[in-house]
Amino acid sequence: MGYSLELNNITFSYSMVPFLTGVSLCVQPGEVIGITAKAGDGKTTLLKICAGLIEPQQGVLLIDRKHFWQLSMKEQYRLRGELGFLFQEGGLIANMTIFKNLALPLQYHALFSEKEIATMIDQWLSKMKLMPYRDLRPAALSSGLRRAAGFIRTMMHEAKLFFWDEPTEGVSQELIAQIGEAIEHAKKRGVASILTTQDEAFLRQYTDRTLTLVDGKLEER
Amino acid sequence: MFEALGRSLLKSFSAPLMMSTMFCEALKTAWTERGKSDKLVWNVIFQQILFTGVEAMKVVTIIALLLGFVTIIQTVTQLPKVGGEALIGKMLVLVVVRELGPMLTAFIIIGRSGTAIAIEIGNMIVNHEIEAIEMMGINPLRFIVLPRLIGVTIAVACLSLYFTIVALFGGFLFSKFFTFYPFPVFLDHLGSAFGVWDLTVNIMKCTLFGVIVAAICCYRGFTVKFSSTEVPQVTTKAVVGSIYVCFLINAVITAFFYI
Repeated sequence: MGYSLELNNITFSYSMVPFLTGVSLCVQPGEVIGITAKAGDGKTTLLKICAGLIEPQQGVLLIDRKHFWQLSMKEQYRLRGELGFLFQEGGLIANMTIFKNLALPLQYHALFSEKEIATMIDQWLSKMKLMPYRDLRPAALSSGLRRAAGFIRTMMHEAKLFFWDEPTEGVSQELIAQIGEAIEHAKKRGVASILTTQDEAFLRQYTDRTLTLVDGKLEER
Repeated sequence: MFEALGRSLLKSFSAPLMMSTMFCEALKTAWTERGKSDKLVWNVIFQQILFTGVEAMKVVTIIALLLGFVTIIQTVTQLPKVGGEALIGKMLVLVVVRELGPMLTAFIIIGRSGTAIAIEIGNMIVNHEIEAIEMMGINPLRFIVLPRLIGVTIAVACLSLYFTIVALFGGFLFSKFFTFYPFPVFLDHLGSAFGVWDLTVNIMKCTLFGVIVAAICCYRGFTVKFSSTEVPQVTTKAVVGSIYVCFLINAVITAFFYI
């Protein structure tokens, strides 16, 4: 079973420009929520606030019914480590090879032995047809391939809550289908997903409900 | 007027305060988060020592040789003119061991590693790599700041010792081509002027320089917010701040131990 998420009256502004004004949201385990908005309206910011990456100026974030910003730093990192986040650009570390990028979280938390990690990563790379890029740095890959590598990293551990930032933008149809599959698989396990996209077809196919971010507020569609 | 004064005071103290907080929090993670991630953190520390220490040896050797050479040439040719032969050793220790050795080592490290640290962290923020690291459940203070603090400090302390040895003995060998200064006399001069305190103060200065350069450069790197155009600006601030503080520490330690 995954985690629930709750946002209560979140307010956030960048350099005095308000982006979010009193946003509230409740996501139950296993639910798939789509958030849509015009470009630059704060979808990614909202997603990062949901994942505990950006601290809002006002409001409360509850993950698994825990007040995230009142947890100790160590607890915050532990909780973040249980979430899966697909970044728009893949979020790969530039001075590490693709293999090292994928191995980093597993090695840091010593979740498996070195041999197990190598086997697991090689299987994923073969599955996603990224094996030729195993020992290259992210800069040598196209944007779509970087996102594919980012997708592998998101999927390498059994996350308790997923965040997908524009999962269909600039990626192959094959990867879109795999992301969709991952969302459905997570749903079956009782793991919720929050995704931001402007892809109406993807929203219709995979989300339970869609919210629109308009003038810093979330509106149910 | 008072409000403006207060605001300006707060602004000028906020950077040192935030940097100190980052420094303490990073050190704290060495205890609070020790365990499974130790191996990976040690790996980053060794990489930092390799980059800051080992890879800087070539440039340190050249600068140390040249500094040792000019200092020896100047002292050996000028001091006897005023009857100051007995001060040759004292002068070498003063210039190479106490003052210029640690300062020049620090400058080399600021130029090579300090800038690299600020630029690397700044770019990591712009490219959302820090956020990605955080989402992996990894604390950047432990994975990025702590290894750089430890690695740079160890590297600077070792490099300074290396600088001193190369400057004194390499400089002597180099100067042999131009002056008549017998090795036993050189050793005698040096031995009579060199005290344990000189070496202690040299290492103390370098250790502090290492800590401060790493802390300032990491902190400045983390002040980047959105744009890659901020990266060169924070790098400049990191370099200037590091130089200021190294000079300040050098002056305070010299005043404390030698006045």
